[in-house]
Amino acid sequence: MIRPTATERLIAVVAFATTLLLLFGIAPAQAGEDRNFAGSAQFDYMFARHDSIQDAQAPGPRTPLTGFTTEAALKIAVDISDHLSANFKLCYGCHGFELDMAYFDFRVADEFNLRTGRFSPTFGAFNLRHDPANHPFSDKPLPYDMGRMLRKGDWNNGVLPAPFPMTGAEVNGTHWVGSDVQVDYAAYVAMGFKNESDLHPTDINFQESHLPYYVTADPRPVTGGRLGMTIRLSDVSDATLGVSGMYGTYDFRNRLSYGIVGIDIAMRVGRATVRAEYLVRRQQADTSNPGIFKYAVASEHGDFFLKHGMYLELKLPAAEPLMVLGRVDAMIRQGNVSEAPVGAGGDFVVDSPLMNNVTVVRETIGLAYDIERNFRLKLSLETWQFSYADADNHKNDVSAHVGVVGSL
Amino acid sequence: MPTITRMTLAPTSGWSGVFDMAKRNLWLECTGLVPVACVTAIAASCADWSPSVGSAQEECSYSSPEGNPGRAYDSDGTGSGTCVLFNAGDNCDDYQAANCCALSRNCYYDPLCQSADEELDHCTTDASSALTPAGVQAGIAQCRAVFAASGAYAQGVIACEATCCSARCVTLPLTQ
Repeated sequence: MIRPTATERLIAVVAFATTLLLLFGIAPAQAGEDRNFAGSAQFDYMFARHDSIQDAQAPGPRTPLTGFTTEAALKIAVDISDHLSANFKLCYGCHGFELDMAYFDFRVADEFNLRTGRFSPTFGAFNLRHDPANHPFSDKPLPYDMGRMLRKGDWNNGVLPAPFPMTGAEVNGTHWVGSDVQVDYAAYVAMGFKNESDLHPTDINFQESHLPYYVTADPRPVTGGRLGMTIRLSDVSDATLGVSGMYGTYDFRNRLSYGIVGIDIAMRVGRATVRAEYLVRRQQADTSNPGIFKYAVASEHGDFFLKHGMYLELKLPAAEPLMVLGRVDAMIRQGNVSEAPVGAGGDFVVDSPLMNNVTVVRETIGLAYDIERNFRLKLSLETWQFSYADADNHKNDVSAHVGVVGSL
Repeated sequence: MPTITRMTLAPTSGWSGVFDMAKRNLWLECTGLVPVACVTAIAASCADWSPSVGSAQEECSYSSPEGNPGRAYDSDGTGSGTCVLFNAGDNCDDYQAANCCALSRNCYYDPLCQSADEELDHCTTDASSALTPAGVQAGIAQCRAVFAASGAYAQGVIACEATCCSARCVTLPLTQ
């Protein structure tokens, strides 16, 4: 596989950004067009008491992302007509530049909108808030974690690392029942997740969902959707309940499936919100090489694992610029453990500390302080409890975040 | 007193009979089959969402190197992820002990597989007396094929030897 060099990537990004500017920034607006330019950037420092020895390798998928990190994004939204709009979003994170959004919405009615292009399909409630300017913590909840969790190499990130942009088409809509009940739906077909680099795939390789190649040898799309209902309880309060699902295959032979289901609940009273989500992913693994597994492969129900994730999040306004935050999140992994690192290509093995039933629980308390409009300080302290010891024989850990986020 | 008989309507066509049957089936389903079907479906789906694993590879232990020509995978405790093998004169046993420990144990615990394993030992001993090296190789390959065909556990051991050994121990040849 020929990978583009850093210079080639930079040239591609500059060319892309220039094109966006030419298309939407400099070109004269057509009659009726409404343009919206937005951006955000979060700069965060994460400290962890224990940097696991086994993970302390060169930067990469198995390395904990402690220290300084940047998440930045620029977005252009254009209402081309009463029915057609476009959204393009370029973001920068831990593995470089990425196209988070490039899609068109063709809205026939509130109840029927056709979305095509590159986007994160509708799943759960956090997906809409994945931008660091839209959620109050420095990091994402564990089920949606993409690199901030400790021992992420052991767990291969969260249940559904967000964002998860993929090329496809989605139909979504909203319908009001009376003036107090809103029903939302979404159904989509999209490229889905992949692992086309491992000889015997046992898990999704999330690295294959971004640069350098977006194409897949698997023509079968992932399918899924969400059904949600929001009830207005009073002028200042509402409650939302949603269920989501996603199903597809991730190997190029279309033999290994993954299915994710989730439920999300949210309640808002004034500026205070409580949110909770539960996700579970059923992941089938190629067991044709039993030697890469930590346990003997069971003859029945031995070819898959489950990864559960859940979080409960509380956002409570204290004084006007200050917000008090609390969060409890957890993950559970059940099933056989492949000791062949995901994305390494071959079948060489390493010692995985995971067992067939492991858990991680994290408690977070934090503060969000609006220094000025659109400029926020984020502080948080996290305690971790793993059910298994790391190479240094630690089961517990403590980490802290100091970050600022701005939006325009 | 005349006997009053309750009048019933005969089916006026084949379709009404079908409808009657459908109603009866529906009644049956509603009263009996649906709960059974639901319980069965839930039980099946629950099982389908409950992953199983066999015994851990590292749980395999051998009493002494003298007693068993091989050592469990990574039994040196260094966490290096490499195999610790010593030359006991039988590469196949070394491979099996080092890499397919749990699968081999599954086989030893299964009477059929254990019997097939004993047959394999006899077969390979006989095959080793062939006149030419090529004949030895062919004979052993035949023995292993027969063993693999004896059942799922045996097939698992052979598959493991054939694949994982190249993953965990690349320095020794697979065949004897």
